[in-house]
Amino acid sequence: MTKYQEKIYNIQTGETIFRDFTPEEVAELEAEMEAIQSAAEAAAAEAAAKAAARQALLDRLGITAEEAQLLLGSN
Amino acid sequence: MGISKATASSVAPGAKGDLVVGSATNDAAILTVGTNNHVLTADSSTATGLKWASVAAATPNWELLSTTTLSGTTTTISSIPARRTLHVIVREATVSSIFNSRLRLRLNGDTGSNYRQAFGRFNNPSTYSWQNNTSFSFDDTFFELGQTNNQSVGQVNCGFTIQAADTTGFKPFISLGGGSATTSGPDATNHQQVITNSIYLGTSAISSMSFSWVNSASSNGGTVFIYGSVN
Repeated sequence: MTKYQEKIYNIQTGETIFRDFTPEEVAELEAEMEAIQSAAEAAAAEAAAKAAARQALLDRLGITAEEAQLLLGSN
Repeated sequence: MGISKATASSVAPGAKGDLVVGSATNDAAILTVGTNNHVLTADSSTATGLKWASVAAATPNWELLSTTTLSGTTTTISSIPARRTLHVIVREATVSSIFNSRLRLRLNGDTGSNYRQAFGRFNNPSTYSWQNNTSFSFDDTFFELGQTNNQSVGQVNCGFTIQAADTTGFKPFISLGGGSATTSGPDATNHQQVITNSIYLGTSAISSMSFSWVNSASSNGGTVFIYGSVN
């Protein structure tokens, strides 16, 4: 059994077959998964960078996040 | 005026169930008994103008067309009979070891940009407030039926309806699906409920549906029930 397979069920005949993905289909699926993984990692890295920059600014100002919220009038 | 051409012997029933019927003006013939459970039916092509025939079974308004277990990378249900409306229930479609995985539906093996889908979502079950960031997805290459979120195991339960499924035109598509991060129904922190109002731009009648997970190589089970209606 290969890594990627399509199960095909025919309603009219009741027959079920399993078909291996073609090399093109495997390449397309793996590229899609890789792109999603990369996008998730990039988003996580961006969020971490923003959090670090925010904390660095608070440290420079010598205030806490709660104090910054009070200063800005946000809830 | 009675029958003049036929004689008693020529029209007399020869066996149990035979019928004497008119075959022309002032003429008669024997119609022998038909098969059990057949009914007498008019047919101008026969000598007597009648025949015995089976009763055509009426297509029920709603009919369960198939019950299929999801497995492999993709599960395709093919040779779907022509029905005006198809309603599909996906129960406990399960996937593991993935993040942000969506249950994907393609129709007729179509991988083109023919799926136009508008989403509305309820996220964060502590409030279940309606998300203002209702998103629209145009020219997608599939319909999204539900999503699990950053969990080691997730499950989608959903239903969708395809109208005008047996016609050669665009097909309205409406779905309601919930994705959760457990296999025991909506969980406390990660349940997401999605409603979509969509259209499929393919013009062929719907004859197959393919289910797969975006960002996953395999399904961990689930069942697809396809119902069809002539209306």
